[in-house]
Amino acid sequence: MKNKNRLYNLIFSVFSIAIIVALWAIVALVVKNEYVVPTVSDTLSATFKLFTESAFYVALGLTLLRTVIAVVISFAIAFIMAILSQVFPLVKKLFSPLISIIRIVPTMAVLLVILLWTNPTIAPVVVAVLVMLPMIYSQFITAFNGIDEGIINAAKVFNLTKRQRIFKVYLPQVALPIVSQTGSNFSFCIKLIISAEVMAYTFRSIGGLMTTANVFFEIPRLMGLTLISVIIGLLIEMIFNFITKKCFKWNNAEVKND
Amino acid sequence: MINFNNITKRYKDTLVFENFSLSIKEGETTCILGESGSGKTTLLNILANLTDYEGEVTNVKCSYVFQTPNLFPNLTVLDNLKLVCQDENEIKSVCEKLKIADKLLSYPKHLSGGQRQRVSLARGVLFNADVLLMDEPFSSLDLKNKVQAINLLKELFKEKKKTVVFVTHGVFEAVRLADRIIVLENNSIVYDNSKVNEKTEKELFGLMLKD
Repeated sequence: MKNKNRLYNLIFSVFSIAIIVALWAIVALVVKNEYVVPTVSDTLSATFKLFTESAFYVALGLTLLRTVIAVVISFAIAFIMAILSQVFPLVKKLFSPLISIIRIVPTMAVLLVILLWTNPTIAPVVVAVLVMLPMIYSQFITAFNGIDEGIINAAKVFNLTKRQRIFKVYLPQVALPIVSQTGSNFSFCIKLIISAEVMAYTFRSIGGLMTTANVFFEIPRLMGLTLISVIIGLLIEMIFNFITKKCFKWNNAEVKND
Repeated sequence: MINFNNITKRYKDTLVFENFSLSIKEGETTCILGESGSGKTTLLNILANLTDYEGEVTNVKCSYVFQTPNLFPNLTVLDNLKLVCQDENEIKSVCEKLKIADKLLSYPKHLSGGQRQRVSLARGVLFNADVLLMDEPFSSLDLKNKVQAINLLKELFKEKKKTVVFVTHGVFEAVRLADRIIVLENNSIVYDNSKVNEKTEKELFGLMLKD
């Protein structure tokens, strides 16, 4: 039954991608202007050509590195802030307006200001951290508050030691929603980093390659870079979904009836 | 004796108990019956020190079979039980009697509602405490499993001379398991029988069903 569902999901996914590609081909045929809508074949050809260029691999590597750095920094700061908020409710109240402000500030405006203070290599990371931080902080707070009160009562009644409560009960339950959202956090961060790289014209980056392709009207190349970014984002999400399933087997099975 | 002395308990604007007192004999199984909202679970939570209250309660170490099993979801059944009892032989023995010995390496999410409740029962029984509290312990069990669980618990309570306080809606298990039955209504005890016998079931049905 499980394998049948997987097969159906795969068929529907392939079918919906095929529809998108078909629509794209039709639009390209109708528009007949490769500078507006390049054909599927031109885009795929430009995409495959990217994989023959060493500059592409350098750009990809550095963009991914910036993404990892941004996620790690956001994660670390958000975790510390969330722990402090849980332990000291007053701290949570102090953080609340700060988080709201960071969330609301227009991202690109922040980028332009940060470019004045730093450089195009660092600026995308700073911008990504500022956008990711409130998101990941909220995810931590939700995860901490999501621990079932019944579980907390059971830990209390059965005299679990502090160490047992933290490592055997609370941490695994907090870790599950955090890890399961890390995949989508990563793919969102890639999107942010690339957007910021485009605006900052970061040297040796996917965003920088996109800007160059745009300037020289290499639209199939630009589409190819976009396609690769999308695929990388999806792959990262799939990897984290797989990790979540493997590391949190206790959450996987369906409830059976008596 | 386990004493509740002048207990007052409010949930926001709702008064559950006001100067309520009750004594429970140690070594006996006491069943508390009553309508929803009469405060049955609150009494258990007060004894287990899981809720604040005004008044005095005897300080005892409690084990608890919760209404929802509250098993630690990231631990197997065996690991859940090992948190309360280190003796694996005893764990296996109780699990065999509750017909969950084949589920020791399963996670709670892999179990049915009835199986989870039996694990919760096992946990409650295995934890070494002065008093065993049970909140609707048989609610998820079908009749066959319910009867098996009742018989097992009766045997265990007698053997270990355990003090048990349990709450239920079911007259069936109340009559078969309890030495004493108390019915709560509107902050007071409207029925208190320490000599449960064959007639008690009929008396209780009459009491519970009257308008």
